[in-house]
Amino acid sequence: MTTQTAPVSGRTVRTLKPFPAARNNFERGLWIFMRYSGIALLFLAISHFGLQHLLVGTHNLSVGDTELRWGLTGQNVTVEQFLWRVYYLILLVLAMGHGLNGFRQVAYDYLNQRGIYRGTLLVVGVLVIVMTILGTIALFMGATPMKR
Amino acid sequence: MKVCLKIKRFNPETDKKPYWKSYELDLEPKDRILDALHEVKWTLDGTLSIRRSCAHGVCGSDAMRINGRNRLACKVFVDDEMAFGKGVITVEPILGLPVIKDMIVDMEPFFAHYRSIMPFLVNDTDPGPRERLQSSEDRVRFDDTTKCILCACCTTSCPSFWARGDYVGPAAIVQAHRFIFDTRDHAAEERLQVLSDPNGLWRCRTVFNCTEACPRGIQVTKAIGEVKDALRTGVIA
Repeated sequence: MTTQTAPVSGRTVRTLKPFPAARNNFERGLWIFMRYSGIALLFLAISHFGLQHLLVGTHNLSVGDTELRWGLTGQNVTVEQFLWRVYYLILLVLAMGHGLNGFRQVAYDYLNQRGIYRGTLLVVGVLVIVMTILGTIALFMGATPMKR
Repeated sequence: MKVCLKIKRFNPETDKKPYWKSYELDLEPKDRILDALHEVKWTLDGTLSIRRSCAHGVCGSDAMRINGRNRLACKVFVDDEMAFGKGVITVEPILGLPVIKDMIVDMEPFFAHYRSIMPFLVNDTDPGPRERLQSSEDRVRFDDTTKCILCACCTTSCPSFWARGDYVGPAAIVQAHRFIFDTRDHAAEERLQVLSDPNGLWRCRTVFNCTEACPRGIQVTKAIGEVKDALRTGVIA
């Protein structure tokens, strides 16, 4: 442990080294993930909402807008379309991860039988991973042209 | 003033489950809820069981859920609660701990969590002929958390604790804060190790019920946040 005095407050500052308990803690890592992903999701989700419901407009929503942003299947994508795909990939992964950990916390609190807790978490975890993979595939395959 | 006091009664020897019983009382507006309970016990129904000691908000033994909020019965006035409860005052035992009888709960699970964080100063070095000196700047760092009276208002207002009683709880974290941030103490790492357990610090969901419930005005959620920071960074500042 190292000790020094803070210049402004005059308080003693102690640094714990080595600190394996905190450094390798699973819960600690997820707690930090929830904070950063929560802040990121706030901006990502609001911007997505604003785009779909305000800029494009609820009555004008169509697959055509998705085609413009994602590009079509089998065609070369522009830089702009690639960036849109990355934007939606980040939104997808963070939302799924944030939601899964939120579910894990609620399940840990309320499912008192460990077997039921682990089983439920396994089923939901697999579902979330499969849905994330499917979403990623759909995103990078591009939109299928609509028959008009 | 006329007061309608609804008390959640439970006697394990005669009742299968708790039930509400109403009492009509004539009290002074600035009587406390503890006075109202005394009035019931001493004049209407001697079987009512309550726990209290100093009756002045220091010992913390009369914590109960008054109009849905955890309070010390000796620190809240009848007129305030009548206004809040729109003419009715409900009184029930604090949640999350086993009820022994009426307002009396088994505090042992609460104290087990309290003991787990080593609530005592650990320092094996020789202090010499004098006491261990500390600057006023270092002393004020944990001043807020020294005010805890272990009434359990915070822990039993916490949804994480209601859901699973093995969560260490806000009161134990407040006590850990009191010693972790004390520069004279040498066991911060051991306490943080205890709190890094899945049932430790990270089960705090920052609901703020604990801060709202604390009869001593301790900024409980803030203290928990400071311990989280210490556990996150390894820096105690």
